Amino acid sequence: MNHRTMLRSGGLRATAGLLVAGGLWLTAHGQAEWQELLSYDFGGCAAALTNIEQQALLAKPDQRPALEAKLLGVLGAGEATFPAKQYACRMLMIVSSDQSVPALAKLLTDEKLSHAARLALEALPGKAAGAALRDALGKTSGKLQIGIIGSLGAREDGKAVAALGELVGSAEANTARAAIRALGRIGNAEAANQLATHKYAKATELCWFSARLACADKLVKNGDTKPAKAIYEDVLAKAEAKQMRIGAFLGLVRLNPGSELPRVMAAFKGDDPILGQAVVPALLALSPKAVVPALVAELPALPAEKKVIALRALSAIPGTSPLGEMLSPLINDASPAVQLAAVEAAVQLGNAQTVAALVAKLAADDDVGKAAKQTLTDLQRDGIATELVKAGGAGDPKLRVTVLAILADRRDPAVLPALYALTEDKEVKVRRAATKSIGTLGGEADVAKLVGLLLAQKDSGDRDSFASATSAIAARQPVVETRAFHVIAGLAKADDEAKVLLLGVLSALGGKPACEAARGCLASTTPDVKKAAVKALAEWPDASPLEDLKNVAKTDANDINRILAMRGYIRLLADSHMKPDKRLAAYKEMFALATRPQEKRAVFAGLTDAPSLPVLQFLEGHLNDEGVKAEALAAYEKIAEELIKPKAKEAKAALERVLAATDDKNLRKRTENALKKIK
Amino acid sequence: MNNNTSRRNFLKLGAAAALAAPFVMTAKGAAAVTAPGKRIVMGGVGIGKMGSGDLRSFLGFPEVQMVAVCDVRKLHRDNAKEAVDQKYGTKDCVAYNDFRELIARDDIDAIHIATPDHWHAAIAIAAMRRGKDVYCQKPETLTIREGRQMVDTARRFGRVFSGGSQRVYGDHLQLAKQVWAGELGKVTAVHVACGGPSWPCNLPGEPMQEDIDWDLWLGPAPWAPYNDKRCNGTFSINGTGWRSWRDYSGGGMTDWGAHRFGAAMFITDMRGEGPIAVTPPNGKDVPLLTYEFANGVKYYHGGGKSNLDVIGNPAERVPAKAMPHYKSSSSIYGDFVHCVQTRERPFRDIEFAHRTTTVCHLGNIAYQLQRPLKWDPVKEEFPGDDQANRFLDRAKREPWTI
Repeated sequence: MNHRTMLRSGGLRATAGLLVAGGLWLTAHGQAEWQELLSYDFGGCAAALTNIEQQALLAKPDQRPALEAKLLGVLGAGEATFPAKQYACRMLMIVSSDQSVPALAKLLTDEKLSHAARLALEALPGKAAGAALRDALGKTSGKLQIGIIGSLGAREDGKAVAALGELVGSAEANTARAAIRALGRIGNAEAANQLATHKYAKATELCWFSARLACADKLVKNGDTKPAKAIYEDVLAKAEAKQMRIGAFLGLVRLNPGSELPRVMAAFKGDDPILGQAVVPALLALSPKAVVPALVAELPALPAEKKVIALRALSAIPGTSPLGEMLSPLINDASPAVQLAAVEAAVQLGNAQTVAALVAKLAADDDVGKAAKQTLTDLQRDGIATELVKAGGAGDPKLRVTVLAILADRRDPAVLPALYALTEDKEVKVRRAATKSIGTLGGEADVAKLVGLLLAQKDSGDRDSFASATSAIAARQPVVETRAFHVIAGLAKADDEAKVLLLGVLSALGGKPACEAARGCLASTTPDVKKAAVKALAEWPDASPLEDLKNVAKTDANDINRILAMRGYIRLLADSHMKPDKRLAAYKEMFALATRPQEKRAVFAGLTDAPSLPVLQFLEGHLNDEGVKAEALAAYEKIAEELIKPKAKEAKAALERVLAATDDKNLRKRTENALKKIK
Repeated sequence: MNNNTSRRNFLKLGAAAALAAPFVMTAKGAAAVTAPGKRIVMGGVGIGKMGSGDLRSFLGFPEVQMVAVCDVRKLHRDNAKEAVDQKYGTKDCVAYNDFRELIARDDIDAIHIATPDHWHAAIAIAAMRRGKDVYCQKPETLTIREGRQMVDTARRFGRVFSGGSQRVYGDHLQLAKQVWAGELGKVTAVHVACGGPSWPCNLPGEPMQEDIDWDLWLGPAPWAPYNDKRCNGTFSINGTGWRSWRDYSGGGMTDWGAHRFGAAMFITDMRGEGPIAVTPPNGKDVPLLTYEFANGVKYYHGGGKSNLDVIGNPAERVPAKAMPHYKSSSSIYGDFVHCVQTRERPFRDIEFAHRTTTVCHLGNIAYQLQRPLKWDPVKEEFPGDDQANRFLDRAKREPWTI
């Protein structure tokens, strides 16, 4: 039994036929799927559709004919629903062969299924599908015909051009437009002839010009330049719409980029606003060998607005040689617009000779200044970094600072020696900027150097900047346990002031060795060093120093140290992995030690991260504490809200207690909303 | 005039120069090629979630005059019209249901498009044939073939066409700077995190809503009954909106892939290229969807520690290169506005956008077919693979053709 037999069969007979003919391929499970598909409506038989699609997608070439036959069976089944047939067509898009064409062709005239049939036919390679679509052109009208025309265009069906040509002058404008567009997509010489010889309606004129340009472009692509040139020239002469004239103009330029320079330069210098739109793409389409010298030669004498265009075009032409000294006067042109274009173009057209002019523009607090900074950051040619280092070495300190930031943004570590030299500059701002840039560019080896500079330096501000740079570099090193090595070594040799700074660096780096080093400084007899050690541990990136902080909080004689330790401890408790009961006990311990409202509030805030009945009960005991009443109530309410599900009764009582105790509008509203959830 | 090149001063200069010359100096020193002294007249098509954001962004540019909005949902177009009218203190903005009426207006220079993806190509191509410049939300294409058609049309008519993926440049800037500076050495691989493919939509019909022109919403896509979850504009890709369904979208693979594969291609300076092979995971020796490029670089779908991991070989040093940026602007919208004025190619030129979405589509096709695929990035086809080539395009429902 072939597919034609199946198409003639009724639904059930067809299915039975499938079973008889395809007993080898139809499993019991498969049969159920296909039976289900026949009555499929949108939203139904999801599993069956998924299974069938998987079969279609994964079928090996020798399995596809069997699957195709099943799908054709669905198309031919009388009782198959529209969604079932639409679905079958979708699957045929994946597995169909020429065997499917007759059945699909039949659907092309079907108001509901024509598109589904085209899904399969448009994608199907080979002659049969094209023939079926061409044949259907004469059997359809209106929307269905337009769809078929579109598919012929998408298939670039050369055999369809004559029939499509006949439709160019169709009284139905949408049909005519579709045919004209399809001829443009097919784009061979015959299609171009059909467009040229068939009369078109005024309403389709834009479409007609557009399709002719499409044909010309395709002819060029296929090496058939003579008719293409004739089309471009004809469109350029006759079309009024800007995009058509631009298209024709660009077509001519692309057709012969080596010899169209005069045409483009005429448009460039002329005053035709339409062709003016095409100048930049046209300049880019020309041969760089021809266009670059021409533009460069004209550049100095051009009016400002054309200088801008020339500069933007030159910078967009790949491989344009640097203009060097020639660019500097343009960067300083009387016209700000030219200045900006020259500065931006310098990314491509600048070189070491341009740097001085660009650096001078850094002082400008406007778009030119911003552009100069960006250009100097991006400009990559020999000698740029050297020139920038020179500029950073002398002159206005503010400008030098900007240059040093640019050197950092350029991310070129080769300038590090020069930056180190500038850490001894007499200008404070410059020294600090140089150090900051070292912090951006430096690698592992620079940590030891910076620690050495910090130890040797006496100026507090400079030491601070060395510490920041050290932190920045060390923090980028991936191995936490070793990255603090040089800092720890420096700590042993440091004076007290340097120790304070290095302890700050250690707290940014973290890790076990660093923690031990900071812990060691808790024993310092120098108050500032001890305080710095407490501060470093209080700001530690993980919970390692919890015990140290607790000891300080409990035992230190110095109020500030105790407060720092307490705050650090409370902060780190949130990151600790303590069990809830131990954590609550730890919070309680800190609360008992706290003498100021600030620390008590911090405890309340910390407690809200771990809601439980014991936490609620603890807070309940402090709802009337002077100075922290509001925070205690807020925390109490939050915990109660969290307990609504597991402990509804207790939560309700707590929330009612809050309502009775507070006048705060927001808290009352929150509490009332929470109570509603319980009700 | 002094040397202060602020935007406002340039605008003043532009107005003055307009009296004398066809080229106008504009806000950023551009030689404008729109009519002298004239602002860029724009319309927006598809003004729902993303579209209203795009609309607000363009309304913020003094160089732009928004005159028309279009959406197949009445509520969206009414809200958009109100936003435009409120901005200008007028009642002049015209709201359309059918984009063809909007693009037929000769006074409109450019449009922005933020319809569902299945409409992008048809609207963008029709608009460019009408001489409009186009800013189109990502993912710019639903199929690879229509992407090439969009590029060809833009080039044919000299149109400025910017894709709308602001995250390509903005989300990984520090990483991009490092790679372009050569800090990571020769790049060998990139891990890209984004969602997976869309899937077939099998939703039942629901009562039609009066607010929506359903036939026009479906447009070139296969006919299907109305269902809110079929056409909802939610950003979630979980079966509750059009981004989930294959007829209208490539799913997370194209939605976030347009951003992140786009960023990968930008960062590795491969914006105009395409892979030569795509291999889906096989549960054995290929754990991740893998793209192989002619230069040896591999892209992987997932498997990184972050949204975008670039792996380089620092031992193999590469020279620093000048990294491209938006032109005279800090935003993708400003880049488009600048390029409409200067006729330069925008940062997210349609060729680059098409190359990115092609990578996404290739991934989806490989996931669907579950077998390795060879790809010719020049001819843009699967060499000798008739079955895979069927996935390069989809017939459009009548009467929509491109």
